[in-house]
Amino acid sequence: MTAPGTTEHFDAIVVGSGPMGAHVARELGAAGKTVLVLEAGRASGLTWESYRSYVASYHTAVIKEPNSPYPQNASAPSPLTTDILRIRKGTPDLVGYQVEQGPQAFASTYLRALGGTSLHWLGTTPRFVPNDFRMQKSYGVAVDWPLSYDDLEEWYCRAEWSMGVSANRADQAQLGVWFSRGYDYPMERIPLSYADQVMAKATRGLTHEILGREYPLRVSSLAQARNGTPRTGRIRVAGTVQDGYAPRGAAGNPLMGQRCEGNAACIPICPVQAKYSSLKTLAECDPRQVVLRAQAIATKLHIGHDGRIVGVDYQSYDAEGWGLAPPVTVTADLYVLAGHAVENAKLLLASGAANSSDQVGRNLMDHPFFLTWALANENIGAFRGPGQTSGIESLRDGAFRREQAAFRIDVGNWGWDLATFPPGPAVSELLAQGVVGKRLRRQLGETLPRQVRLGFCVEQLPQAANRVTISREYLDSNGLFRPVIHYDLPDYTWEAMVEAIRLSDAVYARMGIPPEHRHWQMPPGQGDETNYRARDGKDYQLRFYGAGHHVGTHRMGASRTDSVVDRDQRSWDHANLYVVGCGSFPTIGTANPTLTAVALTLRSTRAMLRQLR
Amino acid sequence: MPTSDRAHPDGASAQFVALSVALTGFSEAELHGTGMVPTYLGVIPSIVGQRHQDLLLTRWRNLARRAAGDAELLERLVGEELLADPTLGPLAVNLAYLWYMGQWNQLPATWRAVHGAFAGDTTFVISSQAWEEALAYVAIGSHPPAAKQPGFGSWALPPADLEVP
Repeated sequence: MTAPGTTEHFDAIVVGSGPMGAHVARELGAAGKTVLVLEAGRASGLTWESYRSYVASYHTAVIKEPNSPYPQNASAPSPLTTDILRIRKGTPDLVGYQVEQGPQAFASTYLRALGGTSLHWLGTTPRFVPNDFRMQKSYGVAVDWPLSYDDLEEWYCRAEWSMGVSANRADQAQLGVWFSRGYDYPMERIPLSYADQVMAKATRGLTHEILGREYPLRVSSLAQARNGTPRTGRIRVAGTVQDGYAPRGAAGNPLMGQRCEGNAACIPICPVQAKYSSLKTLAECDPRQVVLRAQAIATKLHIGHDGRIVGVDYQSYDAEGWGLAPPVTVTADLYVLAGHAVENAKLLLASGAANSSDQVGRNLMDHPFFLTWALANENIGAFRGPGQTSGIESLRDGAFRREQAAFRIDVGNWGWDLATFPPGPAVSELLAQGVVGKRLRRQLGETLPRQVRLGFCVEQLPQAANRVTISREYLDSNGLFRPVIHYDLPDYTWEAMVEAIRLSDAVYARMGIPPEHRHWQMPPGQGDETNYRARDGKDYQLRFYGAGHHVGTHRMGASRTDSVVDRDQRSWDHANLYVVGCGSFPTIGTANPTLTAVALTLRSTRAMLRQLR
Repeated sequence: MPTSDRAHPDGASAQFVALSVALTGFSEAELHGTGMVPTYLGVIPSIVGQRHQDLLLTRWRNLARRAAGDAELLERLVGEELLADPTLGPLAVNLAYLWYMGQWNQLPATWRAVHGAFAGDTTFVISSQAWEEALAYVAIGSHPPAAKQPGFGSWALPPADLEVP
């Protein structure tokens, strides 16, 4: 059966051109399949010149937030942090694209453009640790994944080689993470910043106690999808032997971006594309097999009598800001939704698809991003290098996860960045005090390079009420659904933020920083704060950011009754529909999710190809 | 705006640069080295009119005369007197911020209430080049994000000495 008005048929239609969509398109195309990629955002970025226009937009943006290089597009709007952070408890926030129903602000954004949110991500790529996949079995909380670390290991290897990850095995082999024999990362670890080295030295041998157990605090290098020094020699990657690695440079200008050049702007844009974005994977697609249609918004899936998907509608716009053309239906043997956790959920809900479990849009999670910061006693060279080059990984797992959340700690390289937005406000503050001239220059130079910042990516558990919904009440200017977000945090997560304050105190004390130079309370005006009474009986006024790690909205599981997709990310309800990406995660763990999503998605392409044979 | 009147110490451009030196703590050579002098010379006139720039430079000449070559005294006079002036202070603050961040900030509501709201007086970054030359990053031993990148691995080295000459 075909839907009316059909003019084109493909082996597969992929919705979204971010890392997931690009990988599916590349893999299916390489296997000789015909693929249509539908991208809602603008058709820009694949040439060096169009990408550089993003850099110029960033330079002249007054508020340099994650989407600032990528001009707002009225035809396919994206959420902005500047909209979201206005939320006040108990009041729906209607500003911008994303509708916030609270009670907490879901303070994360994503980008609808060719390349998706990988244009503005930082590029951090740790693997999940084995216990992240079995939270119920190991700790009696949340749910287990329908696959394990062992099942995913070879796909991690492939994803790391596909995206170009710089890391050292020895630094990453913590908390049960293992590597197959003969494997190594494609590039050596990115050098630790001078600030990292100072912190590593100061905290050597430091341990932290949680619920009666001691955990070591070790500063170690960060795995990053950022070009570094390529490894040479024979390296075994998931069954094939590679002879060294050749870094992938910029899309449309491959000699650019062969190494990270220290632009210190990874979020929101790497000017030379040393950081991975899916533009690189799109550039690897075979154009004879893969049709890319940008400025084409998928609006509805058609479901046939037998439950199979029989078509997808999209609406295009010829210029940004122009209205949408009437829907066009295209058909395929397979349909793959790769449009981001929120947009995937939106499209499924708008189509009444894949939701027999009633889990579509539910279990929305993020890493509440909690900050502490301090003023070191000496110049540690802040404001240089990639956003992070090291982390403290040791509290990502442990027996305490029965009671409270784990976290990944990132050691920031950009001073008090999200805490006080230096250097602009510091300049204004000094000028307001009448400090000018050499005193102004000297005072900035004597303080800002000493700024230390720890960021905590705190775990949260899946909750059915944390969800993305749609409503006829909330439509964008084209009459399409805006995402409506309900979001809250459990005590499990708040308690870990209090732990983060205690831990930070210990780290900063080891660095010899006096209490008056240690901070965790943000200045007023940066979102709402929440009073939390901790286990220690004290009250804490806590405030957090989003990490941009949207997961959980179409979770995978072992049973069709409580999950949306199976372990191959195939819909339980529609045999020819895959819903891929971070939305498939049943739990969030503490790792930045993109690498794991790409590994899962590469694994799913095997099932897709089996089905297309 | 031509920079040729640098040769004439009484020229508007030379006075503008001298005032900028006192505001920013960067030398004349450093400011000229940014390539931004001709652009920044025209910013205040284009936003709130030439008259305000003339008043600012007149006041500057006055302070410079009183300081009589004592750079430290001059800096203090600028910080204490010029910045406290209800009309000229906000313009001087904006000029300093312009050099440090490449950005014009909308003047305070109190200023606009007295002198009028000018159409061009909005908060904006002057240009890509202005961002690339933002001196705040020089002051902190860094570089503007997404510009003047220092190269692979530079961040692992000890930071440079930031002594102000």
